[in-house]
Amino acid sequence: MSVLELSAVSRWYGNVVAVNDITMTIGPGVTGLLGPNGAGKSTLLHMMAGFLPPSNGSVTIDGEPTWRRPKMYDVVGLVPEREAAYTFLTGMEFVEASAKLHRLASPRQAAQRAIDIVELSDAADRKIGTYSKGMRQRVKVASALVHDPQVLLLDEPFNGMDPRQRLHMMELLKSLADAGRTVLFSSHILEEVEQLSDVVQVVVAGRLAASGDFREIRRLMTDRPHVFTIRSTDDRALASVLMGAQHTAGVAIDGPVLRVQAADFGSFTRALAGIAREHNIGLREVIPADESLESVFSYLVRR
Amino acid sequence: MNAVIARITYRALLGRRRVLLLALLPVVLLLLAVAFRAGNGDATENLLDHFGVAALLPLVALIVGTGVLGAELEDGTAIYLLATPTPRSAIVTTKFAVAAVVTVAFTAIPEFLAGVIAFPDRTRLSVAYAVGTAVGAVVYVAIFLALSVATRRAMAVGLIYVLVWEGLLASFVSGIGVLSVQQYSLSIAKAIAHAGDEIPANVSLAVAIPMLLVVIVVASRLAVDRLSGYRISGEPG
Repeated sequence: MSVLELSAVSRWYGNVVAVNDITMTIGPGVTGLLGPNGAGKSTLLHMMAGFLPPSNGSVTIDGEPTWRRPKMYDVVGLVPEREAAYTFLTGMEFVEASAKLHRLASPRQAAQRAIDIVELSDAADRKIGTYSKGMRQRVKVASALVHDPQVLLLDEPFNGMDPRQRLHMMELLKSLADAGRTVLFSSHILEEVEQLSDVVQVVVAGRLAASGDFREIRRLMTDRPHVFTIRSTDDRALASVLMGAQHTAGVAIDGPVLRVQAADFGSFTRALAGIAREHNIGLREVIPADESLESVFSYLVRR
Repeated sequence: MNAVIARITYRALLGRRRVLLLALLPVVLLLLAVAFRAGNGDATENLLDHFGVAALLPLVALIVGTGVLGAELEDGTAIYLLATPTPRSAIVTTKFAVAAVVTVAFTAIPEFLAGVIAFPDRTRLSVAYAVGTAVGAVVYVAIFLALSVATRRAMAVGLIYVLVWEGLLASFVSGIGVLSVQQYSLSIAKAIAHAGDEIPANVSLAVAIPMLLVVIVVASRLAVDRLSGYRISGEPG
């Protein structure tokens, strides 16, 4: 059992603050590091993986700092985001090289085991250069798993995977967590994190915006008001009708578009079409205005 | 030394398109040697010194020295070596050894052959230049390897060192020879060659040998230190 600990960690590049005073403890199980692109997830992950020193604060694994300590890779496995690989090696050669660099007693068996885990046996003797994006991702995971690390860090591991591979990878990470490993992965996709991890750390603009049980955070996210922009055959008529409707929290006419604040996402979208038809108004466009992940996050930050 | 890293490095280095450039330069040297012989010229220095030691040697060393580790740091594959408990000194030593062997093979051997072709009756001169070149290869590679870990512009910095410092300044200011790998090579060649062979070294052997040892040690230390503190990209994300 290994514990990853960040204590008052900040990281800046010149005047740009990438990570701002983050404290978190990551123990056994799957933890999702969630945040929009550019939020500081990778910077955090690089500090955890020993490839970046914190400007302030400390990053430790089982009490030992991660920076400038190659021995920590005895217990840590890293799956980097970059797709780069030794394209001239076969998958097996690559994973076996990793096993040897970890000075494992029987590198060949360890490599075979890791390749089996990621279901890459069929392609193990092909050069990595011929692999698809998803296969490269899996061979990277195999190489990171070869020494059966206590801590596995994955930077956007689901990028480029098809749904089946994604599902398989999720099962794999879950089984590692069940075996007592500490698994941390970063993602900017809400659903990935939701399906996989009970514990999430939400990072927005370098700060820890929310931390803890996913269901709790999810509730905060769905409880917020939803704004729609609507274009119809008669915006003014629709506005006056919606004003009286039960599911509407606010209506505004903003130039050529109608902005409606719904009290509840589900019931408003179900009721809208009926209301429009009843008053002979044609709906041309209904767009949830703030559904981007960034707005969900910024909502969380404001709380 | 680490056999796994050595094997991967050889394959990466000799598999790249750069290897064509590596092979091209020695071929040019050999062709020139044939031409010299046919032309019956007395341009010893021009062939083995100006082309061999002053151009072929630093260029090959630059390509190989910055390629063994710098290329992997650049494209991100080095992470698979670094995310292991392998001591950073072992990584640097192995990369250095591979680069030295490849550079010697692509410089000292053709230098010797070119000497034998151009001056068949002066074998000692060819041996002298070949040994000088081999030693120079090792020193250059140590410098360029360290540069490639220290800066992303290793190729440019290396070229400036070779062209401006060694090529231009060292020929005007003789004191600069103390910090010129080219001069170390020539100094060693001069010590081996017959007294009558005019090898234009302006640094004595007593200076060259301690200096080149110091350069190798300092460069390797620097490389190990920089690699130990290797950071993944600087931009926030």
